[in-house]
Amino acid sequence: MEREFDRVASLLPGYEARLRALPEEVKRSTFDIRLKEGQPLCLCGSMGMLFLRKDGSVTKKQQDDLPLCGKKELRELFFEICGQSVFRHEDEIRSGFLSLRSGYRVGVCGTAVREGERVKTVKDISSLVFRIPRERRGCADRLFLQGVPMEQGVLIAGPPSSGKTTLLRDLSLALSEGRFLSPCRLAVLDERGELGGDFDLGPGADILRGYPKQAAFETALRMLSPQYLVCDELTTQDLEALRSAIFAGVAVIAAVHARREDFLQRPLCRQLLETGAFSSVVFLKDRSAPGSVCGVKSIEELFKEERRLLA
Amino acid sequence: MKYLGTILLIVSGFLAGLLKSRAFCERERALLELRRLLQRFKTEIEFASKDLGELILSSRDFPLCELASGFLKEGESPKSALTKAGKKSFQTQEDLKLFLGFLQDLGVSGTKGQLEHIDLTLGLLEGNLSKAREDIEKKSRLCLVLGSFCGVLTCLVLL
Repeated sequence: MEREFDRVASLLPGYEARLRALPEEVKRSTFDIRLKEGQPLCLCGSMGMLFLRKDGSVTKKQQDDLPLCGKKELRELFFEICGQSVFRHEDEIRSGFLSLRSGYRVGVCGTAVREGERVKTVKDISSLVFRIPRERRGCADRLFLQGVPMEQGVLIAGPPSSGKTTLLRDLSLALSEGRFLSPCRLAVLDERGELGGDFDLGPGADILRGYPKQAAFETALRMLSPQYLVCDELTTQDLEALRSAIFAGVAVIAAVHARREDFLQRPLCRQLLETGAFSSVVFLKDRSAPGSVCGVKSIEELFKEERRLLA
Repeated sequence: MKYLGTILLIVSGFLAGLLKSRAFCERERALLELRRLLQRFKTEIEFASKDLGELILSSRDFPLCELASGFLKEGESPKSALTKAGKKSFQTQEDLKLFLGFLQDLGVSGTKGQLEHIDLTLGLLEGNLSKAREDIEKKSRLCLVLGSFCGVLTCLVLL
């Protein structure tokens, strides 16, 4: 039974009954539910894009008789998922997402209202993407069995929807509850409320929800004395924060958007490795198998491989 | 017996006038409560970053929010709970209109927009409040006098 899918479906009152009645296979394969103005509801996942029909069935073809999502409907839904309090989510909306109390993340798309280079707010919401978080117990076990040195820092790399957060979640739980090693203390920097969400990350995990990365790194180091710092989706803006946190006697386990094939071509990935915070990189498969590891490389191996290719 | 009846009629006329005049005071009290509530909302929105549901629950010391929290528990959305509570709390159409107007834009914009919206409502509320005070000043006394006068008049007619 796809509990997470059903819970996300309950956030969409107009579609809930039809979504809940979908076959388990469709539910399991869905990564996110997309609602776009003037378009039918769309389920995106390993089966591709599926459109929801009026009778509750799904189709891969964009047909004329599919029920479309109206502007008013989308606006009302946005207001409802904000808890009728847009002001409460102002910063998140500016960053293009909404973090709901139940731990779900909704991508928000619209027109940016700018103030110089800064996005002041987002108006005319045109689409909402409801991500379905998943817990896959045991998906990180391979890393422990393979002897990946966690205490020297691990970077998880994968394309969008490859299960980076899912793997990071299981890794955190495994460390926190001592699945392979003795239980450890972790500070989980959950900026978007997605990593911790509604999930239990075990007794050793302290979750800093909603903190910007820099503040989270500082708070974690000063107040929580963790053995591991776990954070999701590192970006260029986080480099400084990361640099300030490393060599403080704490291992960093983080995730980044990147593909195995061109990992070192991405400047951010190279910069992350150059910080010295990570000794291994875990590569994930594509979105067809979320959370599945396709390879683990040490930094030396990666650079050696690059040199060989260049030669 | 006749004198007792006369006294009773005059007193009941006076009481009816008193009751009517109390309604004017009640209106002023409700508006003052609303002003305090708006100021609370302003602080909470600016500093506590609470959503509407949390705002209602944390302001249950206000009768309006106490009423609204009951509707919330029944499964109403925060806005509709406040609408229902407002309809029960405000006696005049003028005040209810002001409150419903406030609710209409509550929660739909960012923090700055919300604070400006509350300021605007507070400004409009001052108009209603001064009118309510004027009513107390003028009409409330008139009601007492009219009530007593009606009592006396009834006595005279009956006598």
